Amino acid sequence: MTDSILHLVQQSPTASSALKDCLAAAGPVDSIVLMHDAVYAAMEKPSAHTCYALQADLEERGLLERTDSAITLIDYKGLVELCDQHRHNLSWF
Amino acid sequence: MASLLMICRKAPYGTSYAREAIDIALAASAFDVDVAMLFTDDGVWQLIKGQNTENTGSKNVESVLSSLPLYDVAPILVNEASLTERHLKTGDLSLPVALCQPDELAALCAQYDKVLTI
Repeated sequence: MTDSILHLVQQSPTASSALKDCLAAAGPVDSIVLMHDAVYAAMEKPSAHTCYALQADLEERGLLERTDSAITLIDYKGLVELCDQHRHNLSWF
Repeated sequence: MASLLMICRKAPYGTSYAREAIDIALAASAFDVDVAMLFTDDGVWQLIKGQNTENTGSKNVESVLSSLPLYDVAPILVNEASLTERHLKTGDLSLPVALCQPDELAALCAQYDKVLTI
């Protein structure tokens, strides 16, 4: 377990300030998960943080082929593992 | 014949807004309303090609939208600025659309009896 935070961003970057607010608050070693409508931010990696995106949400929205290769795709099992590896999880919605 | 412009501003799947707007458009058209749709802001994501809902249980918005021409919903308009902001082109979309500009909104609304924004 690390002391870094796992940030779970859930809203579209163009309809909500969730991603912007998260990036303003996230520490340099924190990780970001893009899920639900936040996967629209996965077309271009939004910051220098380690960044993950939920594959199921990308597929549903037709974005799988458009995702920035610098972003790691995860399934729900991977999400659970990430949550387990971080001391805190913060949701942004 | 009464006319209706539906303005769709929401991305599909995260909420039910997109589906409900389409349902309104199809229902209105079935009652002989002359329906047009404008996709703007995050609403343009509804039109993107390649949506795959096999594993999620959601109704596929791309498939539902493909029935709009059969229901005589026309024109299907897209705000070009919203596409550009999202690095999308008309070739990324699943339907033939007519492009419009943000400064044309007022004139566009004036052409219809009713306007609904969702």
